[in-house]
Amino acid sequence: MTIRVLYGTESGNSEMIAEDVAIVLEQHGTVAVADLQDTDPGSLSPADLYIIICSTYGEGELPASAQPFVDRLVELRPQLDGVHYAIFGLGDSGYADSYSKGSEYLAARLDSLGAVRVGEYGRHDAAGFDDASEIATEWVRGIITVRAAA
Amino acid sequence: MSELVWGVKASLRSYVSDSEGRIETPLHRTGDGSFVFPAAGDGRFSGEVRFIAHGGMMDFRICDPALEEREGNTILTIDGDGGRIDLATARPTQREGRLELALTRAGAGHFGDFYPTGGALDDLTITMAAAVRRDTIAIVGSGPAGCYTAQALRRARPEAEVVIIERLPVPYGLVRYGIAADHQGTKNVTKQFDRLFERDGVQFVGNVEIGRDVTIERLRTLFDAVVIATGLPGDRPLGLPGESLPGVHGSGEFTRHVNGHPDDASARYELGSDVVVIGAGNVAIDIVRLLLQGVEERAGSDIHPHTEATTLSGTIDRITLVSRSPVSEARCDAAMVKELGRVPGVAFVVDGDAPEAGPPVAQAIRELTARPVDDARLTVSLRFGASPVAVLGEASVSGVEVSTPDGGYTVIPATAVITAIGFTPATPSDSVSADAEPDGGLFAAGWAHFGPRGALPDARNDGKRAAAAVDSYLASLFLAVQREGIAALRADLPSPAVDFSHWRRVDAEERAAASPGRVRRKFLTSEELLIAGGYALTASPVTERNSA
Repeated sequence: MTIRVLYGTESGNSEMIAEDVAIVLEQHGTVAVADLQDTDPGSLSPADLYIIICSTYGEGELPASAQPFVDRLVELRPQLDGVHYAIFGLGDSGYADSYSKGSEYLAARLDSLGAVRVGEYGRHDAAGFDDASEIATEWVRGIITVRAAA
Repeated sequence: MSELVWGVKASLRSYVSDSEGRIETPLHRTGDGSFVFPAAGDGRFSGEVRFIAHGGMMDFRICDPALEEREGNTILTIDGDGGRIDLATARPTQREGRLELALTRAGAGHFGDFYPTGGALDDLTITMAAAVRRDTIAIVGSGPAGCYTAQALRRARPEAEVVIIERLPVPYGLVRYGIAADHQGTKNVTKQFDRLFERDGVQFVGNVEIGRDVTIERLRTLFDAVVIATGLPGDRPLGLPGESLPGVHGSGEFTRHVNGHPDDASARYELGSDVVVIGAGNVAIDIVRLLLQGVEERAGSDIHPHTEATTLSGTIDRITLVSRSPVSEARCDAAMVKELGRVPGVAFVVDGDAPEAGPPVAQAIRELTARPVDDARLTVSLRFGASPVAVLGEASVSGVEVSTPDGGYTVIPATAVITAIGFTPATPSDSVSADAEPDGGLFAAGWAHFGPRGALPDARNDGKRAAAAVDSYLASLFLAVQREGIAALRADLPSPAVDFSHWRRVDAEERAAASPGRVRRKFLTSEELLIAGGYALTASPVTERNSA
C-alpha cells in the first residue's frame, strides 16, 4: 500500500500542508505527494490510501489545481468501490456560505462514485488563530489510528 | 576539475579505421571512443588528437579545444598552425553540460571541406567532477511574486544561492502592506514564505534599496540572474481635471497608510463626511469595507490605533462607489461584496444602473440593497455605469462630476476621493515588461512583469514561470565564470543589511505590543523597524532622542 497525499491549491498553502502531512505519514509507510492536477482519477486504486488536502476559492469553488481532476472525474466516472480516502478542507469562515465548500464538493463527487471516506473530516479555518499545519498533522495522526483499528 | 568529453565525429573515426588509418592521441578515451580533454582553466582544455589516413595525405588535428562566449554565442576554438581557429558554434541541449556543434566556414575548411559549413560534429559534454559552479540569484522585492519565485527556484535548484533583496527592513511587501488589515487569514501565506528563510536557505537581505545602496548593473555583475519583483507601487491617475486637488488620494497610498507602511503611515487624512471611491475592483471594495467598519469589525485586524483614530474614526456619513462599468461587469468578487453586507448599521443603495439579473457579483449587490437596516449609521451608495468626468473643488475637493447612463451629468458631493483604478510604475525601474525576453540574466516576476492584476494565485503562477525561465537560463551558464554573489554585495553596502532573524525579533515585538482586539501593532517608520530588531543606528535623530 502506498499512502498518496493529493493536494488542490491556488496559493500554495495546501501544498505546504500536504508536505507536512507526508512527513508524519512517512513513519507509517510509503508516501507519495502529488498535485491533484497531475493525478488521473482513473488511477485511484483500492490498494492505496488517499489523503486529500484541498482549499476553497471564491464562492466556494474548487482551487485551480483541483478543478481539472474533478472535471475528469465527472467525465470518466471511474468505479471507485473500495477506494479509501480521508480529506482535509481549508477555508475561511469569514465567508460563511462558502466556507470549506471546495473540499466538500470534491468529497461528494468521490462518494458518488463509490469511494469510502475514512476518519474525521479535517478542517482548518483561516479566520481563526490555529496553525493549519499543526491542525492537519494532528488530524492525519487520527486518520492513521482509525485505519490501524479497521 | 572539469573536463571536456568529445568524440569529434563518429563517422570520421569510422572512416579512419575503415581506411586503415590511425588516431594518434595521448588522451584518455571513454567506452564509446570519445576523447577526454582535461581542463586548463577559463573554458580552455588541453590535449591533441590526430586523425591520419591515406599514408598521411589526410591529417586532421584537434589541439587544445576551448569554449569562448562571444556576443551571446558559444564558439568552440582549436589551435591551428596560424593561431586559433573558430571550429564550430556550440549550443546548449536539453541535457545540462551537453552542447551540440555546427561547423563554421573555417571549421569546414579545417576538415578539408570534407564536411559542409553548418554540418554537425558529435555533441560534446563538459563534466564537472568537483568544484561545481554555484548558481547565484538575486530577487529584488520580498512580496508575493518574489517569494513565490524563490520557492519555485529553490525546488528547481536546491544548491543555488538565492537571496531576496528588500528596500524595507521587513519582508513580505503587499502581504504585509497591501492585503487588507482585516484579512489576516490571507496574510497567513507568510507561513509558506517563512520556510524559505528558516529552512530552505534563502537569504533575506533587508534594508537595501536599489539605486540608493546598490545599482541594478552592479547586481547583474554579482549574480548570474536578477529577478525584478518590485510590483507596481504607483496609483494610476484618472486623467481628469481636478485630480490633484487636496483630498484626492490613490488607493495604493491609502492602503499603505492604513497598513502602516513607512512611506505613508504618517500621512494625514481628513476624510470628512462624504467619501467617493472610484473603481469597483477588489481594491475598491477593500477600501469601502475598511471605511464602513465599526470598532467591532476591526477586531482581529492589525490596524494601528493611531491610524484608526485619525483616518477611520467614523466621521463618514456616506460612501459613494463610482464605477464606469455596468454592474454586470463589476470586477470585484461576489464574496467580497457579501462581506460588505455583514457589517451592521450600514444601508446600501444602488443608484443609476440597478442590477436585474446577471453574474454572482450582480446578485450579491442586489442582496446588499434588499437588506433591511434600522438606524443606519452610514449609507453606501453604489453607482454603476457612471463615468467620472471631473473632480471639482476650490481649495480642496468638493465633488465628483459623473456622466450617467441616461446621457446626463450629475455631481456627487465629496469631502474626500479615493481612486482605485489600478496601479502603475512609480519610477522607471518599476516598469512593466510583460513581453520582455530574458535579457542577459535579467528577469521580472509578478506585477512588475504582467501588470496590476490578480491576487496571490496569480503571483504564484508567475513566480513559477519566472523560476522556470531563470532555471533554463542558468542551464546555459555552466561555462561562465563563478559570480561573487551575496558576499561581495555585503562588502559593497554602505550600511549593513538586516537578515531574517531581524524580522523575527520585529515580529515578536509587534505581536507583544498589540492593543486589545488587535493581533499586532506595527512600527510605522523604518527607523523604528530597524531599532525593534536590534539594529544599531548611528547618528540618526532617533538615537539622539533616545540618549537625551
